[in-house]
Amino acid sequence: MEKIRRNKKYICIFLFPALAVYLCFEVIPVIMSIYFSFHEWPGIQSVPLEFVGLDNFVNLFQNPVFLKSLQNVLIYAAISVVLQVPIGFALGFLVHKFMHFKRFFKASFFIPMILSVSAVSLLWNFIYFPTDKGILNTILIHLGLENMTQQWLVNPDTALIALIAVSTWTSVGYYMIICLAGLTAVPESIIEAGEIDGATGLKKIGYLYIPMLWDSVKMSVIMVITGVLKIFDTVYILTPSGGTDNSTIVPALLMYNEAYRYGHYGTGSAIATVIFVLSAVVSVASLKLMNRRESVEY
Amino acid sequence: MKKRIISVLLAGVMVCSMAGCSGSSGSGSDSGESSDSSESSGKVKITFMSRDSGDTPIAKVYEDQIARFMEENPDIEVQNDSIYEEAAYNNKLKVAISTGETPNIFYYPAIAGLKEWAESGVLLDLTDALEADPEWRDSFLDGALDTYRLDDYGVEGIYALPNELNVDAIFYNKALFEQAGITETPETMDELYDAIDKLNAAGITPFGVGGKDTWVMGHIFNNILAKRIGGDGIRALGTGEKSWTDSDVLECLQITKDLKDEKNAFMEGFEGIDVNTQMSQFLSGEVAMISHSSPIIPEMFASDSQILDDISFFPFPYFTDKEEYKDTRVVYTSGWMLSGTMSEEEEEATLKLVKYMTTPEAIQERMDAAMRVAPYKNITAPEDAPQIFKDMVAYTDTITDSIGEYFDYDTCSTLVDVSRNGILNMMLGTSAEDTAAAIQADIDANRPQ
Amino acid sequence: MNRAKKRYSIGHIIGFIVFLAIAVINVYPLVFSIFCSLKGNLEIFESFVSLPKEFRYENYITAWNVGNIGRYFLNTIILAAGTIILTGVFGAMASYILSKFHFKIKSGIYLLFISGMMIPIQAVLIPLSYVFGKFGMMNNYGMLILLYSAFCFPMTVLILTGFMNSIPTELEEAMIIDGAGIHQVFFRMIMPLSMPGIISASIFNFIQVWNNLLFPLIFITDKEKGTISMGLLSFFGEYSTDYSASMAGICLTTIPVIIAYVLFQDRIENGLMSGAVKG
Repeated sequence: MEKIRRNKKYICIFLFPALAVYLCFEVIPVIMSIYFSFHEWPGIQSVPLEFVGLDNFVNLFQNPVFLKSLQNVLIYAAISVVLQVPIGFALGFLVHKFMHFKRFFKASFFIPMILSVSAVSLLWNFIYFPTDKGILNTILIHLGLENMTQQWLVNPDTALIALIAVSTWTSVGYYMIICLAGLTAVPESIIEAGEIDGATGLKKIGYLYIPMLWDSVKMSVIMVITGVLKIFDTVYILTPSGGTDNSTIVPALLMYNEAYRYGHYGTGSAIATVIFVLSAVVSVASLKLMNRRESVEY
Repeated sequence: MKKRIISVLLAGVMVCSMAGCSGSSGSGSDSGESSDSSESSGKVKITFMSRDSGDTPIAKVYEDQIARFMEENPDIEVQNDSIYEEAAYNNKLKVAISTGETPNIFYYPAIAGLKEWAESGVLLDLTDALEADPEWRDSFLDGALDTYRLDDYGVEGIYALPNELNVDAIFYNKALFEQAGITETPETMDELYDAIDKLNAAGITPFGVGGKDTWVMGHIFNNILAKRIGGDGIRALGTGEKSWTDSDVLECLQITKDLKDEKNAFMEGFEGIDVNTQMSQFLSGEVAMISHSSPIIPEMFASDSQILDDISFFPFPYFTDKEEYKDTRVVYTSGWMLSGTMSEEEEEATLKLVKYMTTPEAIQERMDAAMRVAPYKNITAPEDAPQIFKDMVAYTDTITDSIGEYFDYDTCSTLVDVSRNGILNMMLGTSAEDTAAAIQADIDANRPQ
Repeated sequence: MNRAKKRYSIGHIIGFIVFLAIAVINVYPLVFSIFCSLKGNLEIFESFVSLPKEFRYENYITAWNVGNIGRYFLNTIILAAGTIILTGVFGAMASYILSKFHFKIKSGIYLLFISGMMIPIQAVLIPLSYVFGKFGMMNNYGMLILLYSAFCFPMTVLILTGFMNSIPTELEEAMIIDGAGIHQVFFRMIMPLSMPGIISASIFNFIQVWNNLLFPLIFITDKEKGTISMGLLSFFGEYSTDYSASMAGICLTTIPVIIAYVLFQDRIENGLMSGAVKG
């Protein structure tokens, strides 16, 4: 048995197609992009690359706007993990339980994911509209909370949170789907055994389901982190300039500006490299953290 | 079950093999008439890439002209790659330039910023082509061709054709002005302040500003700058002879800031409103004025607004203590750049197309069908045009001293964002001094030497 | 027993209320888009929640014509279908190895795949277009499908390895002892058992292709080969945005997909799962 699991021929044949496509179309371009990040280049074909060593990185880490963007995106990621994964999984359990409405419910989560960004941005612009006409402000006024009305996307204290809310709304569906897929693999027998032992409600979820779904939780966390650290669309559409006092600036927005608007292609690539490294570090760190919990659980 | 999986797998293999062998010949099954065939049939292929796309009148005019051109020149194929959406346009254009596939004709919003492209041969120097065809050269308005002469920045030559004039003005709602008791349109800034006070007293929001799109406040500031330091002052600012921390520039920032803080000219929360909302506020009679430029006229008339008859415009007012800049007008010129890496054959075809699209008839067609003002002589507004457009054309003719956007004259590519974001932050509380210092610091760090 | 039942139903009611609230939050944007698509452009900004004053169906005609919606819809579906099939099969094969086999650089390859999720697409546009331009691969759907797939593999591998880890090894081993080869084990057992995972990944991959603007923008120049995301750009003009037509275009393209999702989702899942039990 072990011999088959080490059979080089199978390993190669099965891995080859995916790996080949992936290497050609993603890994090689990424390596080229990392190569660019050690050079200065205005994005003109006839102008040769000029090697500048680590200059691009040194400049970046001396740039307060870039540091602010790192801070923003880390806050963004931390809050997103805490919000999106638990909400997504809670919804997953809910759907799992309410079999009658399953279809409709699942479909409803598909809507925010599939709806074009221009529709989503128009909608959220209206929700966050800065005057009393705004949907959110109108609701607050009707609830008698007039003093809580805000210029949501303008006020530096609320802008980032407002964006996180949009991201959460568009992406909890992903984690619900992952949770549901994971639940299908949980053997009924284990749950039944747990029920006989007296596990009910939240206890059942905490002691029976969560350990069984731990792999799904881990992959969801990785998806949130990697998704948020490179976030561009939501931020660009709702706060194209990066917000008041750079309150919503993120690295990918700076990267777009440097590479595609200012003609600093090397700097843009350096930002991409930082996003990549940061993403890897945070992902590995959170995996380590979650694996520790795993050993406690089992 | 087995059958189903095998069929899925087969489909996958088919997709791959299709990808593998179709190569550059193009996968014919996907589209009946593939344009790839053009090269083999000996056609010259050129690409045209403007920001005018979609359903707008001007996009249709260009589309029609290109179609007619191809009919008359069967040996030339023109591909229209125009995209309006800014990020999409930038991504596509910059990728093209970086891989040496520069579109034959394209648009880019810069003047001094073209220096690097001009130096490295991305752009064609048009001097020879213009000299070779005096009739064409002389059809441009006097001085218009100098807009893109980059000699002052150290590169000799003309690197774009001025293609459109966007004349800045303040558009206002006559009915709301009357309602507030304003009888004369403001000519000086003091009169404008007075009008703002009257509108406020009548409970009408004076200015609609979509501050979220930072260019809107940027344009208002640019007008104030033009009226206080003049065209030469703005050019000096761009070349570095003047600094943003100079007292007269600082003063302009302060005046811009005071429009909100002292004069209460904008609606509350304007910093979070986008330009589409601004337009709809103006067109539905919610606000009395907007600062905009001439191409907005056809867009207004394409809308279903009920107040079109009430809309008119007046030039940006001047400052009585700076009477010498009374006639300095803000006019944004947008240009067509031509690729500098074309083969002789392509260059010939490209010039042919450009000339075709800029004959007096073609320019008149733009004006008739799309109400766009171009920098060419002897063009008149059509008889049946709305009065406001006729007025705009007449006003354009009176302009002798025009200036564009301050960052157009600066080689610092980050200035546009840093200054506009800075101005918006200033409206939200930062002092004019800090704003000026931040902008100057960015220029010192990023302007190429 | 009776008491327990009662408590259960209170839980049910609370759950139902939560469920309803969330469903409203999710469905509202679609309703909003439909309303906007029937309004005039100025009307959209007048009130953000009102019903259209009169139903302007002509917006849909404009959208259909200007956005070239029919053609682009079909194109996008072709691209998405190709990508889903390719990533589904090849991704599952790779994930199977990464989940159940042992070799030296296994975790290295796994991490290599996962790290693809950390790449902002804009960072690779210029290197990619070098390659595409050089080898004349513009306007080539086959190549585009490979490109999409490359960017879909990371998440697919992440999801599927996680999923396959939870499939007990005893099942496989029983099959192998019965004399089945690895390919038989994979196609007859692993694929069917991983279907819920493959379907989730396919949903994500579909959305990726559907919403991706940058790849078609750069690599498709032939207008007839454009995608939905490109078509929806045509409603943006330099000085105004035709929101009514844009929203009509969004409704025209999104609603069929949502309906297809509702219709197919359970069917695919149930069908394949029962197949798995039989298989």
